[in-house]
Amino acid sequence: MPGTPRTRMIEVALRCYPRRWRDHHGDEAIEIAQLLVSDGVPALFVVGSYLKGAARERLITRPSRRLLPAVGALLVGASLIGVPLVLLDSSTPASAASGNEVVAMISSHQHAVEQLESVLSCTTSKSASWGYRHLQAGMARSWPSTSRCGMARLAPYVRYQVHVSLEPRDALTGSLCRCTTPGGRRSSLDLARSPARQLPSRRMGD
Amino acid sequence: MAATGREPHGGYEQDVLRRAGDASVLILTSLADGPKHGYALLLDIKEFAGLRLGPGTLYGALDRLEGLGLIESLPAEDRRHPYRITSAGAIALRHHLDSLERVSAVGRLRLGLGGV
Repeated sequence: MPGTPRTRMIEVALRCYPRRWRDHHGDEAIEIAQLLVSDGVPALFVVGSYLKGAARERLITRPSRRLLPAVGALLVGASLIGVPLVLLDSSTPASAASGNEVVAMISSHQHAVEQLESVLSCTTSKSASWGYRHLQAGMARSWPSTSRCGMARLAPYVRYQVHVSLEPRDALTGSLCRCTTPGGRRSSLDLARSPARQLPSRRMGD
Repeated sequence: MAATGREPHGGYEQDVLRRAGDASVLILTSLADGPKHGYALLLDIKEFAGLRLGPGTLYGALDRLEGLGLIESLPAEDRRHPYRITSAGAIALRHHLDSLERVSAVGRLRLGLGGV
């Protein structure tokens, strides 16, 4: 069976395991897969089983240390901006950006800086901080209609992307602030429902 | 009883396998009559339980059981690693089967099928 597409699929699945696991089980795992397939077991069943096993193996060894703190940070961020968790639902309009995102409505120009800061404070990126400083300096009006102001590595496995779109172009009222996390769940934050004065006034970079 | 493995005094809780998963129980049952390597385990389990374990599931359970000290790896034969049930594994399996038997007896009684 060497060199067949089935073999290659199985090898790819096995490469998803950590090196430590492959060093211990790799040779035998290939042999078992070949025997099972020659017994008539569908190759996809074998590949699927190895992929699930690899995911489990990596979840056990890594995300407990890395993903959970990231999820915790997101929840803390959501609670900091005074948004009830009940609002973290699938109320994102269909026209919103694709992928999983947090959409925050800026309720007024007066509170835009504070509200946007609250969303951006979820991130730790320099570019998000840069975006905030430009906003604070009154340069927000010159931003393009959809401006990517930051992509942060919130955690090794979670990228946090912040988009700001200004609608209408010359005012912040009604703007959307989108935080996109690839692989995350689509949700929305409606800051307009949350009085700005209840939002934290922490400044980025402080 | 929680499946926390060894107790402070070195013994084992009554049913350490309660939350270990079905695959773990099937593997221990298969190893109860002698050491086997991965493929032989899959064939044996298919024969006595009518269940085809996926190889990924098998290795996950083997690593978990080895970590708990319920099985041990024997020197490799060619590319194959045989596994053997440890005495702790045999005790844990016996406790688990006793527990299943109690549940089975109650279930049968309540279904009007008579006690065991």
